[in-house]
Amino acid sequence: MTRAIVSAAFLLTTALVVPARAQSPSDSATGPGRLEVAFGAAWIGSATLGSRDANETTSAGTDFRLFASSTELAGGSGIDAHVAVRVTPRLEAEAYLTYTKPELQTRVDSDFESSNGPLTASDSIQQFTIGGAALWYPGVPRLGSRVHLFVRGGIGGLRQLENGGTLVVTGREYEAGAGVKMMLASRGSGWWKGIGARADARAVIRQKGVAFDDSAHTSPAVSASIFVRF
Amino acid sequence: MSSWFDGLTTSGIPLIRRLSEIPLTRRLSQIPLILSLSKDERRRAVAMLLTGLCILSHLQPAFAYVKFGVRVGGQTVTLKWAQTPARYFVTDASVPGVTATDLQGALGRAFASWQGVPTSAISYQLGGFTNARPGDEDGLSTIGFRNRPDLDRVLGSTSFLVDNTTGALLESDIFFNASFAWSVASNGEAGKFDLESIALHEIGHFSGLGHSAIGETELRPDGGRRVLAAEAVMFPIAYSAGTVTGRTLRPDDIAGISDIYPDGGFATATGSLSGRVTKNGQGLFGAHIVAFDPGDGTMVGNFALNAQGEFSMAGLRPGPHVVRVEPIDDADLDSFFDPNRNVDIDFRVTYFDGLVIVPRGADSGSIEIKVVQK
Repeated sequence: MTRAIVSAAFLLTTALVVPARAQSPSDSATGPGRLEVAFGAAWIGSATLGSRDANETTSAGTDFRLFASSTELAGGSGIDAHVAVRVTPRLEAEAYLTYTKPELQTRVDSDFESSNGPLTASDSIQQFTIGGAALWYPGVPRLGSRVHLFVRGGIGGLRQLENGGTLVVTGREYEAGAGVKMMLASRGSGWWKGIGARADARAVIRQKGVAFDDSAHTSPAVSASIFVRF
Repeated sequence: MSSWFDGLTTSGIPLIRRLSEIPLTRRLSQIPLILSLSKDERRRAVAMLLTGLCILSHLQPAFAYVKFGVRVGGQTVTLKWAQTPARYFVTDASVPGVTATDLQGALGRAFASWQGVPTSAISYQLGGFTNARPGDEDGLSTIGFRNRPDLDRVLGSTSFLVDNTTGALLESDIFFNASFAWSVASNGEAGKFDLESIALHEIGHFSGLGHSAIGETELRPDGGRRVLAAEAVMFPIAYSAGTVTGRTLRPDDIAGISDIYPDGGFATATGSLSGRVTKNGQGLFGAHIVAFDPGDGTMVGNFALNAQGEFSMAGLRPGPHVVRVEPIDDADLDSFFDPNRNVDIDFRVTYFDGLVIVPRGADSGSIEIKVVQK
């Protein structure tokens, strides 16, 4: 039984690898050009930052809740830009910049002295991420000669400006996901080699910054951009 | 030179009211206050009595927490020790269950708690035992027991002697009311008040702090109040007898002492939050404002202390804060304000609808919190 599974896995791996080997390590693997510049829109989903009660202390030393609170960094849209360089036929290294403007929101409820409903207090923050990433083009599955799938992993520095920049906090960001690039136009000569569209879906893991602790806070993220190859 | 009192009560009946029944001005005018001062101080000093009512009318609106202020040359300056360590003497008298050595030990631990605040530069020094009595204007800050059965709801009291020309503290005495049962047991004793806890509160006054309103109470059948919970040692009503919960300083206390005696990096490491409270477009005097840090759960409070309803709180951790406004209803208003002031408590608990970002080493910028009638 175990041997059968190993054999099946081997055959599946071979089937996946062979077509890729058949491709030429030239422009045709991922399209023309060696340098790529992309510009587009991004959306990063919300991240829960935690819950805290406003506690007072009873005579017995136990907590007495004055009110409850929970805080999240809401989802936000913005722009992103990438500059990628082909390192090998299937590997690209890229630098990226993302700017979004999400809201920091604290929801307050269960006030001991008030029967009012929950209230959400919020403030808009500006978030910049500058980082580097690696894109790997596995070559399969093939979706046509103009479409190229990739997987991507990156790490960046996070800079978040609160209250219009009166407070700046920093953190780290890790990204992992996959995407697709589609060549819309290409040419063999000229200063640009091709134009295409790119879409990413990834998990964004943010650490520190506006977060109240050092743990990782994961959010979904998507982006779409237009790129130019040189 | 000015002298006044503030104290910790068992039930919210303010010490001020009790003292007002005593002809304080005459009593103090018979005491040779200025004899213990230098010739220069004698020349400058003006002997007069201010009760807690007067103190509270001079609470500082422009800074964090609730701290005492003194009118000097037409301006209000923060009441504080001009030189540290602040030197204190312990009376050699004892009460049942507490020897003079026990008293010295409990006071030493309470002073150490305040002195141990890392963001504050205040320090204290034990001068030794004395046979003087707390309340004697003798140039010595004396702490000990006095038997005051007439103050049947006052556990302790702090008095001040102040140089009117500089606002500096010259002397501060604390007495603990010997008509109550006291304990210095590490875990407390049923039916007895924990001396270290009460000393911690009084030493807050000794250092220049006023009362905090971060606490909840309920009315008792006798008209007094019982503490449900508090989050400040400087809450004016004590926990019930038998507990030692009051031995720990809270963020509100720490912000207050650090604001008065800031250590090197305090001002740059923390920030402040300011604004005004309005009702029907008018400033609201006496509203209690609490800044809550959703990151660490700490609360720091202050009052709107002028007719414009303005308030300010310093010593806050940089970052977002939830701001909550409530009317004072957990102690007699007299515990905080001059009864001649018109304090409006007819409004609902209100939250500011934005998160207020406190910057590092600066102020958040003024916000306006609009409250509505109950």
